[in-house]
Amino acid sequence: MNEPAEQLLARARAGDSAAAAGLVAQTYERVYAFLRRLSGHDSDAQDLTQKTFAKVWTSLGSYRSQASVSTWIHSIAYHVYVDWRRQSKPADAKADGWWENCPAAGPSPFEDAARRDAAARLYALVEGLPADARELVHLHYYQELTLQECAEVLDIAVSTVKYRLRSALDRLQSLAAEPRSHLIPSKL
Amino acid sequence: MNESEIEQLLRQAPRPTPPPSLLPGLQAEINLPRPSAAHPAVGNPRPSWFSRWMPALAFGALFLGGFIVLGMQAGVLAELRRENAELRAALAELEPLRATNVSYQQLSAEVREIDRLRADSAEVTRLRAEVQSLQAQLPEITRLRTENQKLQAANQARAQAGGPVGEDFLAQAREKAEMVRCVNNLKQIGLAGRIWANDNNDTYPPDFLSMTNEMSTPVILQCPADHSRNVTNWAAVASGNVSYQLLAPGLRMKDEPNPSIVFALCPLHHNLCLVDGSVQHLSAEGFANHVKTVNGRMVMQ
Repeated sequence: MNEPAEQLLARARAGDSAAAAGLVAQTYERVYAFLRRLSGHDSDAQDLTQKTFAKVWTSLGSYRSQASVSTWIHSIAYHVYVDWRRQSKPADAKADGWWENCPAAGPSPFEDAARRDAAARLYALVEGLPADARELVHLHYYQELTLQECAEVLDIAVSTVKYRLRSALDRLQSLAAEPRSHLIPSKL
Repeated sequence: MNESEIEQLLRQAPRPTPPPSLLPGLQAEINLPRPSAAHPAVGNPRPSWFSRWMPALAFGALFLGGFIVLGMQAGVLAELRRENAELRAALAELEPLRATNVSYQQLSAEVREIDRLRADSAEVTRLRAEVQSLQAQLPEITRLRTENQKLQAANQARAQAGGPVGEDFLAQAREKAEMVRCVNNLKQIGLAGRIWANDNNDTYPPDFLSMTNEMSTPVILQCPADHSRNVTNWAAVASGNVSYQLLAPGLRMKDEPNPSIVFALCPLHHNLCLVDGSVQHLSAEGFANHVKTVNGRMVMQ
């Protein structure tokens, strides 16, 4: 049975490297996935993940128990990503089709193919949203953070989170209803 | 595609898989800071005693403050009630005081009237005494009036006999004073002339205007009996409007060492200022007998 992240963090603050390793093993996949979707490249995602955890170790003293460890680490990862985006200013800010490299899953080939196609269109539409809406969709739907946790990560009000999500869903719904040729922003 | 389908698809989004080498790398890079007492253990940091009791203390302080305010207000209220009772008692005593005040005012007015009457009585007494004094002086006035009439009659008789009357005495005294002042003027003129001669090789000035620096004021060049002139400034002197005559202009003492030569003359009083500085008063007859002209100079003999 996995030890709660809060206890692992407390032990890590006390200097327990094993606990720190356990905390990494428990959280690094979500952090990597988050940064991989945002950055769009494997190598950038690996670098950002390493920077995120390096900052986690140096910021152990600033952790307060009001937020969960997951939220705290996501907040650090988000700020690391924002700093990276500002400093490196990647020429192609749009992510690649990360969803195409992921393994498929579904009940039947036909249904799976249709659903996979619709999902790919939807994920492409998400990547075409404005940055604030896109990051919020990533956090809430992809990373499965609650609205409160999203607000803490982005340091904005919960009401603002709700408004942006509502706007993003409306935008996705309207784009999904348009002809297919206009649906893939990465090919625009 | 409706909204719930969109949300369902988004929640079922595939998760990118990290490369297998990432986890060992991350674990190898773990660099924990040295634990310090400044960072207490994470979890449930025990709040301080003050933080835990802050609500109760705040409520207690508020309650105590309210109680104190109520107590102070009750004290003030009691004080006001006591003052109110005292004022009501004083109000009952106010009517007799008012009556006393009215009577006092009346008495005060009567006293002022009595004082005024006393002052009038004293004035009447003083006037009566003055009348009596005047009545006592009345015989003396009658006597003086009679004596005055006698003197007037005597004076009138003296005037008819050719003797001096009372007004001639004043005129004589005035003339004598003017003559004395004229002598004084001539003495100052003579002194100024001698000073000028000392400064100018024993030669007397040619005119009065030359010795203005030696005279204190031009007024001395007007005889007091000479009412036809008004010598108040040196401009009048320059125009020759003076009372006295300069009879030895430019006299050189080395050439004519006669001290009786007349330097200045007042034709009204026959006063002579000699070159030695002395002033002589002569009557009209004496002037004709004793003043002669020798070698063009008027000399007193």
